[in-house]
Amino acid sequence: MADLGYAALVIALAAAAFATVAPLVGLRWRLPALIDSGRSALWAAASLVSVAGLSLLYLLATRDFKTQYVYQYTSSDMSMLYTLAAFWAGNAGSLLFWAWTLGLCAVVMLIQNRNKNQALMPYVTAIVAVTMGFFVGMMVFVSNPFDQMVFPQAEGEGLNPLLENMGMFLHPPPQLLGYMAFTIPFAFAVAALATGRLGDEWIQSIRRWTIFAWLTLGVGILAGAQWAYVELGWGGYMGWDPVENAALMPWLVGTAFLHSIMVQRRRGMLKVWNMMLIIFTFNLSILGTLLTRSGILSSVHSFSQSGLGPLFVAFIAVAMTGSLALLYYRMPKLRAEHELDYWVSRESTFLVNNLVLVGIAFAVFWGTMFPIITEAVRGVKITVGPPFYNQVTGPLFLILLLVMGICPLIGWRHASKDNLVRNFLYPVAFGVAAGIILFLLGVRKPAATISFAVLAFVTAGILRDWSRAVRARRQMRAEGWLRAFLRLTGSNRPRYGGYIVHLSVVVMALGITGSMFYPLETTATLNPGETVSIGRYVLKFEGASEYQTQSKQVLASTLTVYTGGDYLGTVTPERYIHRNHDNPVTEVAIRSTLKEDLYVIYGGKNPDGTATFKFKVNPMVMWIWIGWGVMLLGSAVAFWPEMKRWTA
Amino acid sequence: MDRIARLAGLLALLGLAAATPTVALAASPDQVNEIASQLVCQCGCGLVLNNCNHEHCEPRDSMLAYIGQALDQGKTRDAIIASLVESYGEVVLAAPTKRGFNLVGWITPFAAIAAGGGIVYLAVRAWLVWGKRTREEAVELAADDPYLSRVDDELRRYEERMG
Repeated sequence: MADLGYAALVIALAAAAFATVAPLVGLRWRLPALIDSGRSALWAAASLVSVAGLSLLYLLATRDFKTQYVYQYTSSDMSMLYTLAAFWAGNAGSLLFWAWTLGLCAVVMLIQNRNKNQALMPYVTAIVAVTMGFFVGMMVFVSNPFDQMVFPQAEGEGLNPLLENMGMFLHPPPQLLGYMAFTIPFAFAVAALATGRLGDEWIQSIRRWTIFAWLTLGVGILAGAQWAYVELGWGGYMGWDPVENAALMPWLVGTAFLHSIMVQRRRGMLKVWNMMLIIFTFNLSILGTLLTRSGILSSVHSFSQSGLGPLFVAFIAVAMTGSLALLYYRMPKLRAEHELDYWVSRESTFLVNNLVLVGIAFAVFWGTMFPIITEAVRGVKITVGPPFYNQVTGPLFLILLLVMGICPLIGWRHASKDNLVRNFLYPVAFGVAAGIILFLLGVRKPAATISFAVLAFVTAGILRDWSRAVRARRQMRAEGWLRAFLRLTGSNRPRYGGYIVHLSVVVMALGITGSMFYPLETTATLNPGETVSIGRYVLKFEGASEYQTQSKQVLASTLTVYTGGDYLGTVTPERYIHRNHDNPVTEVAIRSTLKEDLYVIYGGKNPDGTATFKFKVNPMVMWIWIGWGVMLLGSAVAFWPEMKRWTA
Repeated sequence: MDRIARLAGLLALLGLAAATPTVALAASPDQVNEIASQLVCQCGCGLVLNNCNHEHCEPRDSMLAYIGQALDQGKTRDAIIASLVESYGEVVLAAPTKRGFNLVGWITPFAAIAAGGGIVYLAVRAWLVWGKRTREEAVELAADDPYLSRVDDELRRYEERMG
């Protein structure tokens, strides 16, 4: 089976190479048959990569420890689910996962465009094929998932215990898929540049692909945050680790792109800017794969390091230089179709939104790269950690939220003074009132108060605009409230899906603000029967125990939780010592409510019989995960295709 | 070797802190946590010092012990951080200092956004100028067009008739 997988990869590489060259040669020599064969070759490459993917799954499922990758990442005592999830636990498997998901995206794209975009498709095929060929080539020549052990072993090393969590299914797959899915919009953009067909055609073709890539990457990022929160045991969800940053950068630039293509579709403006955004989004996605898998920067994801870096850098350099050169060549044809009529218009707010989003992405990029720059310039190693990112990006995120609230309140082209007063009055009043009330209730940290006030303003703005539209529809069509709301939302899904996504950002920002500004933390060493207080909670240490399972030793502790004398329940934070890994893994106990999380980390039992704990109270964290769900809903609404109405 | 030298430096610091005759002030966990949140654990976990959750972490335990002792002896936050930097190097700080070349790290993102803002401002201004010119040209064209003049005349007569 390993031979079959490797052979499939070698042939897939040849097919991808053919799919890259054939459409371009076919165009040059006007040979439609060659162009068609290029498409077929891409189909073939995608199918062969699927064969390789299925082969690796088979080897994992049968625990074939003769295969090095299976030996390194699985063991007999692992559940089948985690055994299969080891597919993306290491470098070689991740490369195969990337190539496979890109292949699946390519197949969907080929089916979607079998009868349209005929002028663009040869270039799109070539770009997708060359990207796929790059990943397949890496496997064939550098990091082969089907390598066989020189001395076959009867048992595997097993998965890193940190990876044995539901997050293993929710975090890497969507994140890796998101990186790859951005290839399709990029391929269409390059095709538009190459053909000079720079109108709406390519934008129309990639809107849903961009939402899909943006959503999957976003889901992956948030799943990673949730995983870090429950598994890494430090009580936070964003450590500004280089690999986390690597995912955030293309997501931020992709967000800017999603917004600015609206301006191009509506007003024929920002064409050069949109090209630049999608070029950077794609290249940042490849940079994300590089940072995830190269280990060039110290990271909590350092269970997967390799020497793939130079090849990734070369690929990014070629992709970036080539696409930017093409963009420069086409600049004269990318002039805006309309000009701006007034300073105060929705177009202007989109520009500010784009500036801030790209600015945050740049700040994250700069912070990620600054240790390398400093070491090169000064020869000194430094760390760029959470205090830097919080101070630099915090104010920018606040501005972004503000712009998010302002944008829907200003009309396209021009907003009169009366119009501005009418649209802004209630949301601003609501935001100010919320700020004052919160201040009176004791929310006195200026940044937190401002953040909550801005969130109130944004929410009021969105709801007001939506409710006005529902009211107008009710009056015009004599519909009930619910019917008018559903019909209105269905009639303009991109707009109202976008509003739901904005509301999800508000919900998440609530959680982030609360947990950032008002956390409580304490550590305590307790004898059984002793208590500790944190916030409104009193915790009593009942005792510690140890027991053995098939794969690990479990060190467990039990604490009862009280508030105001009332018994709330018990929490059981644990530590696992896995058979194949020396470092114990923290299994935190979290008691979540909408108001706050009680977060208990078990430090272990001391020789004198005491046990050490770290206790945290993280306010409003649950809102971040609720916002995640709302974001999925909003994206689904925006993504969902319009129903075709059948007429007799 | 590097690690041994750092550990030796830290032990020297601990010794110095223990030997300094000062009035003992009990360091609160919050004070220790606040200082620890500005530092990175040197065990290789890459996490902020008070977030390292390794069971047996020599660097974390030594550093936290040093911070506690130094606070007890009345040392200031800055002095404690400075002595840890002396022992481990700048890499122990969770964020670059706001001095010298490190300032480039802090300023560049804002400078880039300011530059971007300048470009956006110039672009918007240029678009506004072109937009105004386009509208004026459209008005001039409309004034010269006999058909549009006829439409205007008829509209005027219609409005007069309608009162």
